[in-house]
Parts: sequence; C-alpha cells; structure tokens
Amino acid sequence: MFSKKKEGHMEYERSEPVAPSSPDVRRRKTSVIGPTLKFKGELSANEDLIIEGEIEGTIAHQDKNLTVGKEGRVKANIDARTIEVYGIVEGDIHGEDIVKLAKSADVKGNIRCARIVMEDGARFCGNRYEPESEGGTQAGKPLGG
Amino acid sequence: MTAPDPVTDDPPREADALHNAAGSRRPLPSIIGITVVMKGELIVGEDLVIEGTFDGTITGEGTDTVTVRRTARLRGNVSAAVVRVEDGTNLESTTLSGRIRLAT
Repeated sequence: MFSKKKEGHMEYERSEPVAPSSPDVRRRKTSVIGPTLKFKGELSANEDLIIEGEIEGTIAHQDKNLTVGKEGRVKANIDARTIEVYGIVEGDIHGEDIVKLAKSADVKGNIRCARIVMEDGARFCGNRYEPESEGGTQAGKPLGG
Repeated sequence: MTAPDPVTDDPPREADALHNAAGSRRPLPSIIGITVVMKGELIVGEDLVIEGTFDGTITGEGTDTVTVRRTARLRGNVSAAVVRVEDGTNLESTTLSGRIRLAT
C-alpha cells in the first residue's frame, strides 16, 4: 500500500481496492464522514472508515482500517487495525497492525502499535509504545515531545 | 443527464472515497455504513446516507438531503431540508422534520 519511490521522498500509493466488477463486490464497505460533518459522541464500526469531518468523543473501531483525511479533525482516542492519518488527531492512537502518519498529519497523543510509518514533515507530540508495553512500560525512546 | 438518486443508485465506489481521503478536494457525501453505531449529536452540511444505527440528533444544514435506508436503526430527531426514507424503514422512535420523501 505504501511504497518508497526514491530516497527521502515517501509517496502514498494505494494498491487496493481496485474497481470492483460484479454488483455484489461493488457494494461499498467503507463509511465516510464527510468534510462538513461534525459529530460529538460515541462512534463504533466494523467496516473501513474515512473521516474528513470533525469528530469529538470516542471511536471504537473493530479490526478494520481507519483513515483520518486531510480535512479530518479528530478529538478522540482511536482504536483500529490500520490507521492512516493525513489530518489532525488529538488523542491516543492504538493500531493493531500499523499506524501511518502522512506529512500533513498533526497528532497530539500517544501511539501504540506494532509498526509505525512517519513521513517527513508529520507532526507528532507524544510517546510511542510497543504492543507488549500495555502495563505502562514505555518501549523505546519517545519519538515526539 | 439526470441527477443521481441517493436511494436507488449505487453508492460511490470505495476506490473513489479512498482517493478523496488521499488528497482530492472533491466533496464527499457522508455515509454511515451498516455496521456503524453512533450515539450523540451530528451536524452535516452535505448529503448524508444512513445505513447503520444512530441514536441522537441529526441536523442537516443548507439544502442537502438526509437519506435513511431501510437497514438503518434510528432513535432521536432528524432535521434536514429533505429527508428521504426508504420504504420499510423502522422509525418507531424517530422524529423527522423537513420535506419528507418516501423512496421505494
């Protein structure tokens, strides 16, 4: 999904999904929070989610991919399998698999994940933890400050 | 060329949505999918399609349409310029306000 095109320049290249062919496959499995949408409360989902609007509260996302788009502003703790951030997040991020911060990302909060990808220019203020360190023990040197 | 019908037409392709998230400035309609559960207050200034569960208040600003599919489970208030409701939708605990249209 991500590829390194050349030295010092990370370019996001999406290899999936491709345009579906059959009517069944064409059924969307992604929810979209559009750029003019503002939500305050509790949100949970079991499908891929793209956030381009504003969300404040809690996000419990079960084993799926979550994208905070360039226009997205999230003030909540985020829990998902794969998390991509292009916008602003205030809160702790827990990615079961990987957390990706694009160069436009601005994250204030702790990140717990097995793998992390940060593009040059991404803003991150917080600590990064390995999944094994749930007891509060910090693994490795903090990436932000 | 007729305008797309948010109730009967196919929803946007996933690839389109992902493309927008990656940087395009084309506005996206908001889609609350079938597995999504939301509880709280929502304000939207674009078309909104609800397939999942929502408990609370939905306020549509402007002239946009809120579409409630029959898979939706709503509880609370929905206010928008146009509210489209699919035939068979359970609105037992829901108050709708605006121009209500029934979609078959």
